[in-house]
Amino acid sequence: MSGWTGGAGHLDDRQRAGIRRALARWRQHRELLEAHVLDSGMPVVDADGAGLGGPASASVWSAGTAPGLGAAPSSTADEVRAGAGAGRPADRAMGLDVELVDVEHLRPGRPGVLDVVAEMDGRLAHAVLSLRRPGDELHVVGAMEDPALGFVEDADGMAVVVDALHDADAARLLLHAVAGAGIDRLPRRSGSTRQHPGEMVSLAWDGADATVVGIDRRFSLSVFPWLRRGPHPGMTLLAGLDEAGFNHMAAPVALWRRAGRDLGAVQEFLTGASGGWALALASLRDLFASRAAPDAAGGDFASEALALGTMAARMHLALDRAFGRRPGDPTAWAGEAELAGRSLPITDPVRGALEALWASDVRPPAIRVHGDFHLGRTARTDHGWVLADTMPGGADSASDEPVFRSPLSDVADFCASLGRAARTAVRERGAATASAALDELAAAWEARNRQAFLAAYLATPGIGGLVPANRELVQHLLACFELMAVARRPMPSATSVGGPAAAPG
Amino acid sequence: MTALVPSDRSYDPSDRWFQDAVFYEVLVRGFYDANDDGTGDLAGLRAKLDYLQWLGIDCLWLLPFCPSPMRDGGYDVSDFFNVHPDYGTLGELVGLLEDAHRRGIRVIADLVINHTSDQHPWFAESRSSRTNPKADWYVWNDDDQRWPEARVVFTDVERSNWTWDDVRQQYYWHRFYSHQPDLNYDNPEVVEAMFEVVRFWLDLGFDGFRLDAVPYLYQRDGTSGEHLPETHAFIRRLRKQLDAEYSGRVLLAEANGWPADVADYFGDGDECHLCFHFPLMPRLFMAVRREHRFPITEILSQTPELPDGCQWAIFLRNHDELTLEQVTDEERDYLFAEYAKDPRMKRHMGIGRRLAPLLDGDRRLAELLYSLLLSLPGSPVLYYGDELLMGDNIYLGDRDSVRTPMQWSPDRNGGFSRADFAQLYLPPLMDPVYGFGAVNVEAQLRNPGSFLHWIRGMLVQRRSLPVLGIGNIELLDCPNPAVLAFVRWGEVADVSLAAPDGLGPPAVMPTVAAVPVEPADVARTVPAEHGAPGAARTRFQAVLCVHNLSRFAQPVQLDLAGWAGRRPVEVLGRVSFAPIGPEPYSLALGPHGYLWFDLVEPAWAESDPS
Repeated sequence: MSGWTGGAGHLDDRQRAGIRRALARWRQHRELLEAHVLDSGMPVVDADGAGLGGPASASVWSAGTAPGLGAAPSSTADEVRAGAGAGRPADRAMGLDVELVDVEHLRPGRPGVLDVVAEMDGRLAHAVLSLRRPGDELHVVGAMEDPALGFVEDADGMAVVVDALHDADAARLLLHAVAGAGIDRLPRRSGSTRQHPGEMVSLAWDGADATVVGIDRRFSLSVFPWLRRGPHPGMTLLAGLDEAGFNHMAAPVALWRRAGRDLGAVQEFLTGASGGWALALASLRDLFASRAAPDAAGGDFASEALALGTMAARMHLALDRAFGRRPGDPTAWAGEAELAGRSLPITDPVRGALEALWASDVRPPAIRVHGDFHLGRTARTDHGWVLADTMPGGADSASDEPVFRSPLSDVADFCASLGRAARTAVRERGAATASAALDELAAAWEARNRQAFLAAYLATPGIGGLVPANRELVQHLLACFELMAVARRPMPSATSVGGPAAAPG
Repeated sequence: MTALVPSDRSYDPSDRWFQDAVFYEVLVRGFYDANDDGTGDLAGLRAKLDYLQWLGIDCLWLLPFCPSPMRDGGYDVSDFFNVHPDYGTLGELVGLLEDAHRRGIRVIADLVINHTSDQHPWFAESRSSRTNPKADWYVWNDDDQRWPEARVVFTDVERSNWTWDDVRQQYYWHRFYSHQPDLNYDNPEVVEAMFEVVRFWLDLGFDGFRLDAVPYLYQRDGTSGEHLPETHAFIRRLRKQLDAEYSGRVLLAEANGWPADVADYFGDGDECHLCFHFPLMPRLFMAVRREHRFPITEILSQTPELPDGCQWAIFLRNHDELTLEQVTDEERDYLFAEYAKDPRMKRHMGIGRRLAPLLDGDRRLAELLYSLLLSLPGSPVLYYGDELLMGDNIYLGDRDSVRTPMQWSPDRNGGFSRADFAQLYLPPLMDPVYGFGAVNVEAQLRNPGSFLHWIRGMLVQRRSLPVLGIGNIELLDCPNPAVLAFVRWGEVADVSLAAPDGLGPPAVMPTVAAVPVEPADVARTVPAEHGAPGAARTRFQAVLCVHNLSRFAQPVQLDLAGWAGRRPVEVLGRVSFAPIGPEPYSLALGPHGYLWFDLVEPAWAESDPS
């Protein structure tokens, strides 16, 4: 019986077959998950009142009992023992073409932890598997009805294969394998009085981008289920921001990389966080209920918008320090915007802005931008606002090459997001309460918070080096980039009615 | 003089009754007038003890009752060793203490420690010359330029901390009103005199003191004159004396500051037993207006761990303005805009309103805020009348807006006094919304759905959950910002309760008139082993509290994986909910809704027929 070290080439046929079979089942789980999860960062209530989106909605949650591992999944131990090639029929039956690329044995024995990279349907799949002794009691993380993926046999005997990110013990072992054994000695955030009497491993998020597991509310372990061929732009952005001293985010503890590929990361756990999208909608709902002017409503969002503006500026200053700057090309940006917005009605002021940019010979600084900076990418914690994630990483989606633009492109993204929130809030009120007065309130809310966000952004010390001093040019650039933002993520119609709240953006 | 000891609890120094007690702040002048002279008195308060006992409070906090010219609600004391004649006599005070203790109710007094009235004989003597025996009992100076770093507290009425005295031809120091000269604690005679004051009242039977304006006792060059090391040394000395001679008595610091600074008044557990948590209060109001939890969780995250044997005192409203000292300028503007729309509502650096008008009379909001008050870490302090959702009178001067007579009935003067209306120390509220015709004890006692019955029921529940007093707090992560959820957990003493304060609805309601209650009927009992050192029986308790800060119904999914296997049992109705599993736990809350759950062991859950 072969050991696990040395990569996929050292496995015997039965082991390959067992892993392939487990990967096939893992893929089934992901398909189920990705079919149901809204690719957003917050829960949404659907028309029936059931939770949709967010960590809880990934799949049907189990009854909460800790399942044992005596029951076999779709294949049995006998099938595994039946010999070489036993996995092939199952693979074919599932219509999968699985080629193991890299198998790393992160932890020997039971529970053991295997990190597997495989070519699967033209994509690079990444699964972390735990090897459990049959009959072990599992502390299941998340909602998997049947966490077992298959069987495999090694020098320690027969093992049940389980998705390690849904196995609390294995997730903890993986954390230590990725971040080192000394991680437990890292100090807790000061002022924390929230230690829990028991150990805690919980699923924070499970989506197409990443599976995120919270461990003891101290660490957040993110693992990418699908890998890039090279570095993940989101990881390079995260690492750059951290090295540049940007502290409005969960501090990275360890970046998990192997063979030039980013596999995941360990970050500080953001306790008590709520998404910016949810807070904006809460403010709008309060406004609509009070019918007061936005500045007189209890749930006024302007103080939050101010803080977000400052955070955004600090993010750009850090990105400038981390990745440097280049001369920007407003003419090219205007061209991009026109192309992107060709199917959109372009107002005269926007048209005027684009024309002014075409005629401009100014070269404002371009930096690596976030690239998808909106309310849903932010979160409020007890310690202020944070950048909740660095995905997709400010890179071209086809080439993964970082995109350099004026930082105002992120600012425009965010302003568009404020507008999207306002329209979403109107829309969720439904036809019965729709009115011009509601639209006016929403517009006033959007204007007030745009103004607050921009004012704080432009007042942040140092940002003058990245943003043109000419305020007219700033307005033109914002109009240009906002056209791109709306083209990329269409604005909901304020008067169209029905359906759940849109995904944050 | 023999100290009077409550019948139900020992005074062992390890007795930490204050850690899960509910305090009730009462203005003697405003509670009940037993002799019909228009001013509330000690005999009146004594007559209402059965009401307070029924309500379920553990400790009375008496606002100043010593002789005073009453230019600052009695905080301008002119004799530390007597009772203001309007309130009664020392004998009546002793009677009050005896009756309260028989009911298991402790009593603490306001100790105005920083200053006296300018009518106090000490000051009269001190100002008379620069050489008299008490010449240095106050803080004198030839000019008014010293200690410019010390801020003026009442900026709206005082321009300087120094006031010229024509008699002595010097300036005297005062951190508050100019008629309240500060005592000079650098003079050992003053320290000894105040210790004598302390001994006097403790010997009478008081269970402790609220130390008024304690941060300001000393002055030092180049400092703000607040929170100085010398002040802490004084408190440690005072505490040492308490522990040596009056164990079980408590010190409660009125130190308005940031939690990390105020926590210094706990020392290493060798200074004050309790400190007010001032910054929490405005943030509770801010959170319900903003409809998200962050104002609360931010301040909790900045609240340091308590030393062993200490506790925060938390409150919604008190006899002063809703102070906005411990908020940012922006937050203050926000709170003024939201809660003091009429400029007459502003007092000093705060808002002179009672709870109910602050909330526009919204009962659901009031219940939510009380639910927070009773479940967050700290001993809650209720303010008289707020159990009825009494109103205020913003047209009265200074802080009298929130010091109007207690409303006992719809009768003349609200049942507070049978004196002529013109004799009353302040007019009772008579408006159609909050006036005594609409809001009074008698009516609410007769109505089982009243706010009074609701809060009484909540106090009963709180007593059954001692972990709410002393337990740890675990704030739960939930994506919905409108929801504040936390688990209070820890080991608690296994205390049993006796009727009529046990679980369930009250069997007998008090009438408005005083009804004597036999001590045997009301004593809360503590198992013998609880009082015996080393033999205390404890058990683990965990309570999940979930609050919806929004006016709209909200869904919430809580990460309760760490409590998997336990079953939430709703506290008020003892309804079992689905057991907790590894997955997020879903709940729905109504507008401004709140839920408290006992997280019971699986063994309990298995025996549950549901």
